[in-house]
Amino acid sequence: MANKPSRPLSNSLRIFIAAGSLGAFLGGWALLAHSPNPYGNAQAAPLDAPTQDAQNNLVQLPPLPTPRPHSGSGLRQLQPQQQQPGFQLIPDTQSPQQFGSQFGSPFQQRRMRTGGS
Amino acid sequence: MEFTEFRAMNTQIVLAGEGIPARVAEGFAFARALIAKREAQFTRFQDTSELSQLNRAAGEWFNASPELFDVLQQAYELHFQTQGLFDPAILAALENVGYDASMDVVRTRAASTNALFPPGMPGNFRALSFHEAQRAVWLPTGTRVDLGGIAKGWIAEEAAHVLAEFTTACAVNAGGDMFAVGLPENETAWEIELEDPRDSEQTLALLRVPPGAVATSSITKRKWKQGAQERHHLIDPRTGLPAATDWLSVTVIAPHATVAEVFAKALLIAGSREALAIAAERSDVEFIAVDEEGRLWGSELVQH
Repeated sequence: MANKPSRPLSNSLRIFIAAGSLGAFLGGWALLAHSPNPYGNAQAAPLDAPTQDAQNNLVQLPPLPTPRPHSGSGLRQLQPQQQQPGFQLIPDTQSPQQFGSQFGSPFQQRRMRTGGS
Repeated sequence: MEFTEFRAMNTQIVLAGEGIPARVAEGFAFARALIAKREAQFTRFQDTSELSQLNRAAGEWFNASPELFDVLQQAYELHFQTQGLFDPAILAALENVGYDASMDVVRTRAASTNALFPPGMPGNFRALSFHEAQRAVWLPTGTRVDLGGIAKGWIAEEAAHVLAEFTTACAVNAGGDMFAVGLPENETAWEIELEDPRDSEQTLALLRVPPGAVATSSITKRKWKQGAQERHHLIDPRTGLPAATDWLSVTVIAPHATVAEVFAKALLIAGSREALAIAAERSDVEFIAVDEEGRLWGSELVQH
């Protein structure tokens, strides 16, 4: 296939193309700037909305709940001999055992003990 | 069942293991070495600990070990589950009320040497951030954390799993934070004495619990004088002061030692007014509270 011969643009043609591009840009901007929002949902973000730091994931959280009056409902006094879903309370029939450092004591004579530290 | 005990983490550690005695003894040695290693990592009383390095790095990202990263992530989740009553960022408040050295040192000081300061409010633990891929942690500037109790529970559970490799059943008790693996031969539960917080020599009842965790938090153990004021170590993050609670101790039974330890602390701070709302956050937590008259309290909500 033979190549079409090309020739440089004349100065008048260059000016015409540049003026046309500028006009198209300005026209488009004027149309967008003055047209109504097609989705009707544009609104300013409230100033007090939670903000999040993209780097540190900082999130503003609500304050701790304030103490409420003691109603007593829901709490109940537990008694030894009581079976609970996750544990059983039984009376202590032995005097407290002190742990020694030697090995070999039978399980029932040396129980674990919980009381904080 | 074989037992051994020693002092670590400023408390009494008891290891129990069942199996071939030589293997159990080997397991005790491994568990003890592990506890010493983790204590050096998580203590706030040594400048060289990883926790102290993290506190000094507040305001910038800190590359944490897998262990510290895990403890901090659990602490972060539990902070929200306890509605903020568990707050590791109370370190400044703790120091302000005189707990600025190990408890052995604080107890032996003359009361008058502990100056009275205004309440120190906790740092911003909620703003803690994690970068999973780089295992990095970011503490807000000015925030320092104390992992005391939760680290003790975490270490007890890790040590119990190590000891379990050498035994058929075992338990690690770190000053009341206990984790048990398996069951002793011919037993259907672990029997644990529930100490009377009014007199540590007395036992209020026995608990029969399945393998897992039991932890107790008390306001009658770690206490000292600051001027004329009697202080205890349980800081209410809402006030920055030792909690004004109507309970003396709370014992929690839970699947994991970190959960048991944290909820015991939070429920004790909450007291009878708020404990039910906090306990309702987790269906796998059961609690027993002891009041000033030695009465035991539990919750209807824990009956699933």
